[in-house]
Amino acid sequence: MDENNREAYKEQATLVNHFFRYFTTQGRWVLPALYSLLYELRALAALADEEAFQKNEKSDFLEDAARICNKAFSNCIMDRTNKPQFSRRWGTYRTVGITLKCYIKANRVSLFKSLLRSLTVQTELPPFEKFPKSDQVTCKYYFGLNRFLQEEYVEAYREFSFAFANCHRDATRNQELILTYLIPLQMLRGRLPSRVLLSKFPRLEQLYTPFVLAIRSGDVKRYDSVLAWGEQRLVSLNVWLCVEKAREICVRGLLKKVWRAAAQPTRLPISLVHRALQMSGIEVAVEEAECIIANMIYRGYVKGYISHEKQMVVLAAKDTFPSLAVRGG
Amino acid sequence: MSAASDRPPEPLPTKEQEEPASDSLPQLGALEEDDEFEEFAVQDWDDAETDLSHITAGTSNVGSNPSGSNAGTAGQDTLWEDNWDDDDIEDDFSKQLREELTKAGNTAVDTPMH
Repeated sequence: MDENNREAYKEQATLVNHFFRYFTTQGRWVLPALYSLLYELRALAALADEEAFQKNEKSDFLEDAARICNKAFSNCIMDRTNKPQFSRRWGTYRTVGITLKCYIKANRVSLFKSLLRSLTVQTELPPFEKFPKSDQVTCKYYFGLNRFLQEEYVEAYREFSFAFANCHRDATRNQELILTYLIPLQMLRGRLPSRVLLSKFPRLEQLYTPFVLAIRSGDVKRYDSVLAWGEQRLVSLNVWLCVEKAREICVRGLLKKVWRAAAQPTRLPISLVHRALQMSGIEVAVEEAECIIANMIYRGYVKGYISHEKQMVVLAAKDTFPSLAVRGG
Repeated sequence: MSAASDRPPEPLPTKEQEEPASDSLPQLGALEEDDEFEEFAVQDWDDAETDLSHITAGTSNVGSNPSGSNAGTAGQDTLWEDNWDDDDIEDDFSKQLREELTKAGNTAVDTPMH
């Protein structure tokens, strides 16, 4: 007998929809049953998609599963009959987590938005920290991912930091997933992962160490070649943009080095920065060097202004290179 | 960008490691097949079971962690380093830069603008 995951999925979907009729008349105590039905639904949807994909047929089972999970979420959050401690609302974040997982797997991150919106308008939820840690961490991971993919790095940083700090110590793979995003976000804030941290996650260590070293030494050329080396991997992990952005930290390092070598003057000739760029293997015109400096000033990495006529960078005497932590990404 | 004419004619000192560093970079291992956030084996736990949170307590304060684990910030430096920027590392590149500066004469630096 051939496996027929698509039929199995349809049966499961029918089951879940029937279950909803009962579920909505009950309270918190039926949540475990709901969860296990939804997990099976999601697992079957993934299998069904795979099967359909292999047969070159339409594969939208995960999207369908997401719709059903979303309905489960509504059924939880809309509970207006049960007392707070018995409310189905306690299933809110778990069902959010399952739904978002379906969206991710179905490549429909764009659908995060409406779900998250309905979550924020909901004011009668029990406090977030009262939910089980597994729900909190899972949700924060997906919230972070959502922000990250929209390049909202400050918010993403906040969500991932929470997820990382509260993640169970034995869930190494989840820690690794969180850190995949948190490390470049931290780099962007001028904080580098230590050896101790990286040594716990060999894959991340291998991927990010070269970037860390390049930043440390302000070696932009090196950073560029490392970017080229890691491009494919970074793209497939969805972190390329962020890591590319962290190049700014490296450029800042280079500028700071020049400034230090020149005994920390308040005036730095553009020609010198140009020279330094060339020395580090970045072949650009003087105008481009000027442009790089202008960008650094604009982005708040350096305090000062450019005197174009005199080809001079005039630097603030105090706090010339503001602390990256203060700058805050 | 047509930069050629702007460049000084003489050859420039470049970094020793002229070639892209790819030769010294490791071949990346295979991607983890499943990139899904995993189900946790347990549903709930306390701060004591988040060993990393103990040492990153300082970081998590940034997030919306009202319970704020009690560990000090001492350990957080073992995970993230933000003081690397303060070290004035005297590396070859800095030396080369200084040499360049001397060559260029002191005219450029720290002299008042006219």
